[in-house]
Amino acid sequence: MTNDTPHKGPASQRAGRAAGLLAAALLAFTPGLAAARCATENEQRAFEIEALKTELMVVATTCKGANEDRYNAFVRRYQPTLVSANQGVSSYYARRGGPRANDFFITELANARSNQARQLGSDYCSRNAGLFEEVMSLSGPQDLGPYAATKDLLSSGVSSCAAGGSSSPAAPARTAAKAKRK
Amino acid sequence: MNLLRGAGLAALVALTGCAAEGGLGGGHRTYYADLQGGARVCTVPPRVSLSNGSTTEVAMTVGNDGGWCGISVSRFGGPYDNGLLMQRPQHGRVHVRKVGSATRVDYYPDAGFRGTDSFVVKLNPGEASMKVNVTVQPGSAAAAAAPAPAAAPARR
Repeated sequence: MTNDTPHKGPASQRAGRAAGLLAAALLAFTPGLAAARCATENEQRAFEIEALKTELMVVATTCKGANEDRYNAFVRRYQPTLVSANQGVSSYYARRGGPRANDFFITELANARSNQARQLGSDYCSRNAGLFEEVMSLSGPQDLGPYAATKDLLSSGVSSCAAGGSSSPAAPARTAAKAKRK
Repeated sequence: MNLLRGAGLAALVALTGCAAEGGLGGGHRTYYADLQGGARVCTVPPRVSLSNGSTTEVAMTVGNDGGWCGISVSRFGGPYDNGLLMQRPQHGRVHVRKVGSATRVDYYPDAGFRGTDSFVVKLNPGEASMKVNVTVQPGSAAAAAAPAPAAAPARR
């Protein structure tokens, strides 16, 4: 991350660096918890797309410059799919937990992505800005869900579907095949 | 081949069959964060060649200690543009990312799972698909939870 380092004394900076290293190590070695999977493939896809959008938003707001334009281009290109995913998540929380749970999820998601940005430090922008190239290289909106599913964005610090009481895992779905049939 | 934690960069070079350009330009950097957290036991073919428009089956054996097991693939010496998850694993997670000059397809087994799993990833351009048949063995979570000895950045 480039622009968010507060001014502190040397001791405080050393402590901060040590804490950052520890946090990075813990992040890197987080055990493979059972992924919170939604009850249906459509719900799972909606959550993953929402997480991808948040990740790209954090890249844009953290790294700024051309990344803000790239984020806008991403939103323009995939707007119908993004709107649909957002509606899917809202619909899920309308049935489980209500608007407060929805707000909690969005906040938690943004915090999780921001925490990763902080933990990666100066590597974050150069490493994650490449996501824009990847997402814009997709052949079309139908690939956005299957692409988002490869980014493992819901695994750390995000409760997603599981928080709402979904207990049955999503069936292993052939995501792209389903998407293309639409 | 066994990918041992702590020997991540060397193992990755061997796995991909090409040099990992740590810190070099050209858009193919290898980041420290992408080399951390590998499972102690991760057995995959040393080289995986994918064919455009067809599906290649690959076997993976991973010890379930909380770490990932990855298969590196490349296209003309560089990473693919993107990956799509065509079939989800039932007992784990998949993460496709660019690592150096390759695309690495990582699998994380769910905690406590042992048995078999599979997933399919399609890599573009070229629509080269890879079906990964995974065997998950028991592993010690404590092994992966312990941070690897990392070189601390120089401090004044």
